Amino acid sequence: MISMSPKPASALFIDKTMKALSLIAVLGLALGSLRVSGQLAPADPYAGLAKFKFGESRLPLALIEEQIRKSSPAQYKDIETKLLAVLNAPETTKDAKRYICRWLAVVGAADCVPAVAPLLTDDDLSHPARMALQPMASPAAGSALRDALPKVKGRLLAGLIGSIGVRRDPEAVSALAHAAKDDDPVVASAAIMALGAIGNESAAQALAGLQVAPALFRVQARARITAASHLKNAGANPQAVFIYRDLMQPSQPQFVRIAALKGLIGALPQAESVKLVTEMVQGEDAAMREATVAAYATSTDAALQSAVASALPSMKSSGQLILLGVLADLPDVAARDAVLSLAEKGSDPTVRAAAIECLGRHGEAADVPMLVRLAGAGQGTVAEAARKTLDRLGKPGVDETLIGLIGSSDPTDRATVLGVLANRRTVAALPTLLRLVGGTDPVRASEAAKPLGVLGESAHLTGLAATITGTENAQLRTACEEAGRAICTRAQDKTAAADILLGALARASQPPARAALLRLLGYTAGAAPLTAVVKAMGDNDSEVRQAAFRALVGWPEAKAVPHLVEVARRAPDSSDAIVALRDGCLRLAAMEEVPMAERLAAYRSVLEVAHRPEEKRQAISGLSEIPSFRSLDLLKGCGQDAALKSEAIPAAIRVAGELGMVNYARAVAALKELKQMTDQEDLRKKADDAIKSLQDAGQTADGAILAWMFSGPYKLEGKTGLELFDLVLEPEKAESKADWRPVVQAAINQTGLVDLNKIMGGDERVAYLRTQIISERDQEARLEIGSDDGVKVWLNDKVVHGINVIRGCTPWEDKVKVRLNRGVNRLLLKVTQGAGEWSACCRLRTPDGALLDGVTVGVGEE
Amino acid sequence: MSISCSSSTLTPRANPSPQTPFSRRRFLRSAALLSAAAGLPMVVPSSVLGAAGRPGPNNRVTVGAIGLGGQGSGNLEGFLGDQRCQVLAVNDVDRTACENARKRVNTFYNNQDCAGYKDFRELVARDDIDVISMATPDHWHALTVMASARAGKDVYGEKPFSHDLREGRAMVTTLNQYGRVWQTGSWQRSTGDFRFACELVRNGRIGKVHTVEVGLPTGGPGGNAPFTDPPPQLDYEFWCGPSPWAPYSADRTHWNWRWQMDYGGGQLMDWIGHHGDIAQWGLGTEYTGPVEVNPIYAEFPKTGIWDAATRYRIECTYANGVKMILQNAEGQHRMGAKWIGTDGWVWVDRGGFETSPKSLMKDKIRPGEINLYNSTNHIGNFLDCVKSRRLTITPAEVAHRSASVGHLCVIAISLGRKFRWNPEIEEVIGDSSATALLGRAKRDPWSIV
Repeated sequence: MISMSPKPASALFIDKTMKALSLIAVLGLALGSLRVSGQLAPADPYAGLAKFKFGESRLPLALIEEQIRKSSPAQYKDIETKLLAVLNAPETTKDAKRYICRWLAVVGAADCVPAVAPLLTDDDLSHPARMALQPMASPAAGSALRDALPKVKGRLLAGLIGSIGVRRDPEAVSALAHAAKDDDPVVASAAIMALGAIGNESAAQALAGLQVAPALFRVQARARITAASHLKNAGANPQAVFIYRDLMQPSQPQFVRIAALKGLIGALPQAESVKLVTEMVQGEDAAMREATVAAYATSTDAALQSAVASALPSMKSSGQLILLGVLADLPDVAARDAVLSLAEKGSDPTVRAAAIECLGRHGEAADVPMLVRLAGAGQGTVAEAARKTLDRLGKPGVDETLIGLIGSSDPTDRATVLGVLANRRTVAALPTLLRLVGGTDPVRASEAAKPLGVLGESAHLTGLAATITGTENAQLRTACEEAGRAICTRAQDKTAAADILLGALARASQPPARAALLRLLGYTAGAAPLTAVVKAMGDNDSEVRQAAFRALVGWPEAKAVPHLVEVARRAPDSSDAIVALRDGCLRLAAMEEVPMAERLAAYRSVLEVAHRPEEKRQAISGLSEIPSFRSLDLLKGCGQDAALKSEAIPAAIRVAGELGMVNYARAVAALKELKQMTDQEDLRKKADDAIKSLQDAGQTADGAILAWMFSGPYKLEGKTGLELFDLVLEPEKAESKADWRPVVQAAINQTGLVDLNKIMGGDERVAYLRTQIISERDQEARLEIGSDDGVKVWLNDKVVHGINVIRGCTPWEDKVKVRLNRGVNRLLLKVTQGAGEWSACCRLRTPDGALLDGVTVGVGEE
Repeated sequence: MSISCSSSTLTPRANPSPQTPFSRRRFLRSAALLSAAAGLPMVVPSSVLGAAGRPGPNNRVTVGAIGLGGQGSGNLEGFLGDQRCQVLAVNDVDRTACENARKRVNTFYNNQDCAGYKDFRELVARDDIDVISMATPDHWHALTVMASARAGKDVYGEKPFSHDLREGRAMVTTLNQYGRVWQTGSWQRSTGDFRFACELVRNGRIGKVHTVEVGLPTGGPGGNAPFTDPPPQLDYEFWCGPSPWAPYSADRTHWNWRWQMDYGGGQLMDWIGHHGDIAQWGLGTEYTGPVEVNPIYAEFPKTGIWDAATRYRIECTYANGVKMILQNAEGQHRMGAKWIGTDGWVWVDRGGFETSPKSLMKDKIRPGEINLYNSTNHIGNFLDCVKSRRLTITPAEVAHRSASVGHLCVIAISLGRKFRWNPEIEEVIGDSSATALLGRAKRDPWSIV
């Protein structure tokens, strides 16, 4: 739920049946009153409106708005009449009049002007009156605004002038010119700007002739910028140009000169504009240069843009660089010829590089051979730019041209093209690459292998494997193996990749080929390739054996552990044993993706088989990262070994400390046991400290529960969070098979608020939170709960609380008296979610709200 | 009936993150390996690693911050964190907010140079300030932005772009007239999967798009705090500024102004500059708008001072027949933007990205296709453009067009009827009431002319 709540009870659907009912309500017919949103609606909202004051019920206003929403424009006249009747009634409050005016803008027309116009001189109602009149198309509204000018002063006058300016009322020019000389700078500024907004020739002349105080110089200049823009839009370009040139005087502030220049570029005849742009782009004044660039880039005059672009070759380097940068953002400007000229013949390497990069947007397929040639010419900025441009050039035919150049006789060109095709992910090149890899030219085959590795999929391993088994060229075999490794690493279906490689392995007779295929199998997964790898470890050829061993050591699945352990068991003091345990077993055991049980089994195996303390210590270190009673047992076992004790006992204390929220009693018992296992005072103290901190681990100081397991999210097609509240979902069932996971600390704040969006998020769903309260005795208690949105609570499988709402979370707002049994009490919360924030919190207190003692909280099991 | 989109059994949706916690270290390693495997360099923006060296004082972009509530303070931190900047001044009509920000800046730079202003016009009048960070309530956007542009300042401004459609057009015109760089705080464009989702849609991966669902938050009624004297640190008269005056209430001002149409625009306008903007980006309608706006339903509070619609559903039809359906997210209509085409769909939200077919999620946009503007640092992109004078990832016209969709929807639900709109000339066709709601008269002495 968002921060506002709750959701309104009634809906104002725009619906014909509702319309009739509503009209009855607002017209005060028959029913006398109508219940809306839990309130008794007044029979006649217009009567209520007349008495409306800020702070009182807005219901009459809401009902009138509802009537407007349900009325067609043809029915507005009736509403206008009713509103005017209230507006003109002597007892009507000012607050009601404020409201009436703004809706007269919607339902009113010329008829309402006489009633509204007098309000323009009222300090409180002038603005509401302008809200009615300013948008009104009727000339009467304009007259009313103008007529009121001499009747007000100060800020009211400034407001009136602003509305006249928005309406761009040409009849107001002389009055505004007069007001522009007002002693009040607020009024004078408003009038000057309004003249600019009107922006016809007489307004522009009035502005030009004004003798304003220095404090208003900038206001006058700004107004003239606006006026010039209107003149230009009206086709009065010469007048606009005159103003812009005047405002480009050095005496003007820089921002005025920039605006004037920008306007001037758009107002001049094209030839002059091109000349101006090319001059300014090459000029020394940075601000004016930037203004020119902005004007050029945003110009809607395509002919101007192209004409300036065609002047590129004759410009100074500084201007060329600026314009090339801009053209890189303007692909539709016809600039290719000019850019190409600079790219090919430019004398300044920086400009050339910029032109080449600009070709990325303006170049065509025909430019590819030139770019390939430049890209292959060393490491300079020009070559770098050419490579970048080839990577991004997007015009039709580029890929086809590049593929055609794979056959180039120039090895540098070929290298460039193959690299570019890989970068561009041009899969259309795959048939050509496969043909080359399987061809008779080992040099070209090696070249093609690398992009094949980038672009290929599992199916393409067939061709690579065939070359690996068929070639005697070691360089080609290595290139194909590298490509295969890239494909296998990326492959989603490792089994399919393995099947191809296994087929090739069965056919391969030469040891180097078999070794290469075995190494590749190390990047797949599954039972069959693992079996093949294990089998190959007994091969007669040492290269094959070594390759198989390497594949096994790097195997991605924990199923390799028994085989790795076997290697270590057979020759426990060999270097292979060390590699198998360290790079094989311990690597797999540290992987978070591997199931917990298999990780623990791997650590256990290492502890059993390893001869060296180094591997055992590494296993102890890994076990200390797994908060599990099984890892704790293993660590306690190591604690009995004098050589490992100093590492094992601190690690075990750490794990036991983390397990406190899972099973408080068992964790404390383990810590006490560990304390007895050591004579070291610092470790004994650590164990004591851990026991002490566990006593508070499940709750905050004021009883808020911190130890939770969660399950979810649960959602149901077409059901909202509200609708899921009473549906029995898996965690509520007697023989529940729900999947429960611990709530991580990062999702709970210091007050005990569980942020479910940090755990799962999403809209229209529910989640469950579960924990156990261990009470030292039978006792009365109070659960205090907050939730966003609704919450249902079970204690010992009985519903003790439920509120199905959409709301923000106010901690502890729901208070529920409960009875806690001595021993374990199971607490379950179901928290619903509509949209936005999603959270819940719960704390334990005595029935009268004091701190509750004699309870600990833990989630209860792993 | 199924519990999730893909399952027919009553089991929780697979949620991989708690089982396989995201490991940043592992991600970086994987990314490096993938890059190496692809033969590509691993490019990490300098903004991630911390650019070496800081420009000298004369080369820094000088910043003034207007509006220092929650969002404004956050944006201020963004500018402080960019070594190319030097914040020189801050402004807020709330003295406490202003003073806290001034102290924060001075502590950051370890000097006393930052000035604090209650009146933004004094800050804008300083010629030594290059850019403005604007994060006021909506009703102040146009006045502060236009004053800034007319003083030659570039602006990073919060969404929604404008408080009404007419002032939005005036803002665009002024920013363009004065050649100013504008960036909207529609920061989603610079994060996550939003750009890629839009590229998939723009490049036809889901076929011909016929619908885009835009899910925005649900609002609520409220605003029942009593009318009192304003707190002494707040110049409430100034705070009301160009909007209608009403008595002070804590529920009217800080944060809660959003739920009142005189100062904000409800959840619809608060989020139109995010998911509505993304939807337009994906449709490629960033420089135009719908041609018809049809309200399906809307609910408005009847009590309290908050009057913005809480639940709403509006259908906007574009010239090519595509429908954009804006709705408060509930039921099957999820938060975020979901484009639906003849061959599939793409849905994106903060932290969420799904496609049908699923394979699209790993698709690649090729050089010859529409590669959208790429920014990974929203404030950084603004500062880059302040230097280069190029368009930002959310320039003024684009921001105005995104906000316009919201304004048109607000008008439609206010009138309770559909109307036609000409996005080229920005005029309502044949509905003077809708036309009247395109703009608001500003309270004296304020004006946008």
